[in-house]
Amino acid sequence: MAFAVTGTEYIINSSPPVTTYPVTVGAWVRPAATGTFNAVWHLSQTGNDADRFALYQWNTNQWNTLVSVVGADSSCLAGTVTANAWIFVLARWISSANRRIGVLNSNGSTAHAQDTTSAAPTSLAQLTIGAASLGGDPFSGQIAELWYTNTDIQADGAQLQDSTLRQLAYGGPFSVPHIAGDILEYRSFRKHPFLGEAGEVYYGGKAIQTWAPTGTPTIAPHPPLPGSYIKPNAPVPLLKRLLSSGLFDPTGPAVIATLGNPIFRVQRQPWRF
Amino acid sequence: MATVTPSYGGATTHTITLASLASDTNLIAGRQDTVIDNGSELADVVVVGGKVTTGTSPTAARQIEVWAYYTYDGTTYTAGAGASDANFSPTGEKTLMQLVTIIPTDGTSNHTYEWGAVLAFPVMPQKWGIFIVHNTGVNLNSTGGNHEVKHTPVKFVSA
Repeated sequence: MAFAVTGTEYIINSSPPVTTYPVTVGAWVRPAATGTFNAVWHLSQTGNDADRFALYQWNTNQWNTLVSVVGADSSCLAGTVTANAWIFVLARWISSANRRIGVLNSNGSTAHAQDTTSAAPTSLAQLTIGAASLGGDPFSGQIAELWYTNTDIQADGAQLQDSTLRQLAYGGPFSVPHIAGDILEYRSFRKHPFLGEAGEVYYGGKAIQTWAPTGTPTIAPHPPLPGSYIKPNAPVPLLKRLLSSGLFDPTGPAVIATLGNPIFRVQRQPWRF
Repeated sequence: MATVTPSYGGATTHTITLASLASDTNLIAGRQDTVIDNGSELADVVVVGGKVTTGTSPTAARQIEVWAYYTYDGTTYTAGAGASDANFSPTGEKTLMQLVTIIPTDGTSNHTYEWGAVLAFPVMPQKWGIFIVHNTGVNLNSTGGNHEVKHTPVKFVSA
């Protein structure tokens, strides 16, 4: 499933865990149309777009790592907005003099851009997914596998390597250990944002985040991802199958292993037969 | 105390004609293989892989996609795939198959890409196969021996 928005549904966090540089946001997006301004992820002043960080679908049919200060926009544009196609976008607000964007287009090509305009927005206190702060520039389409950190995922502030971009797209953020450890929030959007979140939402070092819906966000088909895509707390599929294979005493001690996850430990106990 | 260990079967070569496979900008028109019958192999897990060789002067920064299709009743296959090596265009239904891997390609002529993956379905389907499609801009290499798809069945045995 994916978070489907039709211009009137979005969700708001009034106490976001990130309020300033640096920030990294990754997401799969599938826009319904081209040629419009649509906000995917929007960190702004409360009810005010004058100062903000925002991942935008831009009317020039590119993706934008946008920063605004007192209403003045500085854009960092790259990639191609293709209607009804899945695209992976990676936006980085690195410092007041460095923003970057990396895009994995729907045809497999990549695109990158940088903006070095000096911009330091202030009083960022509202996080919105699917629209701008007051519901303006609503995104129409689908959003999935969205995550963000309060770090720059490439420490040197340079252009993201294509191999890392593809790994994040098809392996997920939890497949890259140094990024997994910095994730503040991850939402697969395989399930409705407010129902049945178990296993589909991950909160990092900050507290559990609270979101309020506007409208009724729906769910839609998920982007196709390989079976090797790593989710935050799913048991290793192989172990699940072994446990259900009947080879082991079901009353024996449990084995828990979530390989590839920096948070959970691998615990093994001897089986009893 | 008994232990469970993987037991590897012999590799099986799939029947799939990838030589000169045309490029498709939309990544829909590709080639499927002849279906593999797991009813005889009884694999718990399958390690699948192969090699694909691009053609002459491919467009840089494109990709080759590998998908897996399977049957739910022994006869009908996901996305409308057939049972034999053939051109296949799952228009509007490609995502009904399972994405195995994406191979990013460069502009180098006749570049061979060796790929691999573990197909660990919750339960291995009775029959399954591989679909390959690309948008490299030119036909794949015309020599059959420069392409292949193989798999190794794995069973878990208690010793």
